[in-house]
Amino acid sequence: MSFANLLGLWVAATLTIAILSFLYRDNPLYKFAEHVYVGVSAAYFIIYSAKFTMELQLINEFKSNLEAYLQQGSTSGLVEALLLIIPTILGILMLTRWVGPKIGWISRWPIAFTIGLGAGLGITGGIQGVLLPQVQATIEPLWVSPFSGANLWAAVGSLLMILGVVSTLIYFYFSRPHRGFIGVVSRIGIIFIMVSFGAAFGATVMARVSLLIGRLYFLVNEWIGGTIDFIQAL
Amino acid sequence: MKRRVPLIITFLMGVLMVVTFFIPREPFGSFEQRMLVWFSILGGFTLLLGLDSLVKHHFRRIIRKRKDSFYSIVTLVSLFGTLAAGIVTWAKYGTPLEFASLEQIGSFYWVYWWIMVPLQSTVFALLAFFIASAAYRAFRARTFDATLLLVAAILVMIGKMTMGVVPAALILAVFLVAAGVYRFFVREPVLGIIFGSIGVALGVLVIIFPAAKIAQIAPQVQEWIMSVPQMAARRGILIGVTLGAVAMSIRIILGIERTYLSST
Repeated sequence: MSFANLLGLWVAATLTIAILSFLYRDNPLYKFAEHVYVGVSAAYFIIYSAKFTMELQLINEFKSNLEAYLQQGSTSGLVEALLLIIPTILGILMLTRWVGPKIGWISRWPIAFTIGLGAGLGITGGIQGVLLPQVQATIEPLWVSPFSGANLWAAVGSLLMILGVVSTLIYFYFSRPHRGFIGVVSRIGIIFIMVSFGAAFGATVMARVSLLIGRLYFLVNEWIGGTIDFIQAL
Repeated sequence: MKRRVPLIITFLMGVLMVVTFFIPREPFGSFEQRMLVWFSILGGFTLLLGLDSLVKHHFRRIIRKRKDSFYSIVTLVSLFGTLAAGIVTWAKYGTPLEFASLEQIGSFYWVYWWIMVPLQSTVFALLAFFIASAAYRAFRARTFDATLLLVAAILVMIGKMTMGVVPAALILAVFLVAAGVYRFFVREPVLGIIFGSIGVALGVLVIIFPAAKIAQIAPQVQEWIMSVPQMAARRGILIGVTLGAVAMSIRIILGIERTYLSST
């Protein structure tokens, strides 16, 4: 192990303990680690975006298309290069907020562009990507003959699935009062919702616990074990 | 100009995105992909606004010598230190995320690997404790619904355990019996009998069956809960949310919903 990595190991271990120290109570060590996290994360995403968006998708694309036009006379290359100027201009317009309210309102144009884009994608993506596949997955065979050798338990599951989806939807239907038949179905819906929330909660807890085990493993095995290995190797 | 142009842009973009979805031929075929690239480029510029806001906020705190301004210095040092590491590595290797092996990494990747990753996973790991304490407050089985929530959560947790399944199942059985007795004597005798019976049945099953069998059944129960009742309610919520999102998108495109214009 190199010295840089040993240093990294100690930094990582110190920061891990600093964050875990919050379990006792809010303290300066935790606050220090928290603020380091904010600074490092912000810088990481800025550098990541600069490299993988601005350089690869904007500058390199613009350069290669312009070169294709200049060297081979490719008209499509010129068009592609010119088209890339549009998001650049929109991006610069977004920065007019820095100048002040006099021309800051121009930043509404790129915002409107992204909102329109998101709204359009929300319709097509929402219907094609979520709504139809979810409805399709719900429509399963409701009756399986026990003599056909098929899994009867699967048919029970399909019935419960239909009941769960419809009753959950009815629970969130507020245009009519939840009385009578709608009241009964929405009551079934809340039962499904409660089981769903509980299951989701249980799964989240287990995921977090596994992360915690990972951090404890890091402290015991990698930090202490790695340091001992480093000292022995000297 | 201030309101009409953004409304026209929103309308045109929204309609274009919907129309091009139905036209697979060029230039419309690749329109959505192109727009997503433009969107990420715009996002890159927006990050500069975020950076400006973060730096201004912390500089103000330092200059005004607010309480805890030392932590603002920590934030700014981490921010500019990481930015410097990224720029130096980028200039040296042509990419900021230089990673040949853990022994040969650029300084930016070093910061990512030894500072950002441990901090991120420890913060998320910390949530295990907060979720547990929140659960204690929220899950006190006061009502039938809360009890259902708690039982589903415990069954899923038991199903995901790699060890200690039998004691956990026994604890659940004891809990169910206790909840049943409470419910029987306090408010709902029928529910009390149901909970109590399930608890007793679970306890008997755990005692009769060998531990290996219990450890085999528990993940199956967990899988069934996740794939049937959990999925059913989740699907219902997803369908409802998507219908709402589509309706909201139509309102935005038609200019009925204009709250996004009020930020500047």
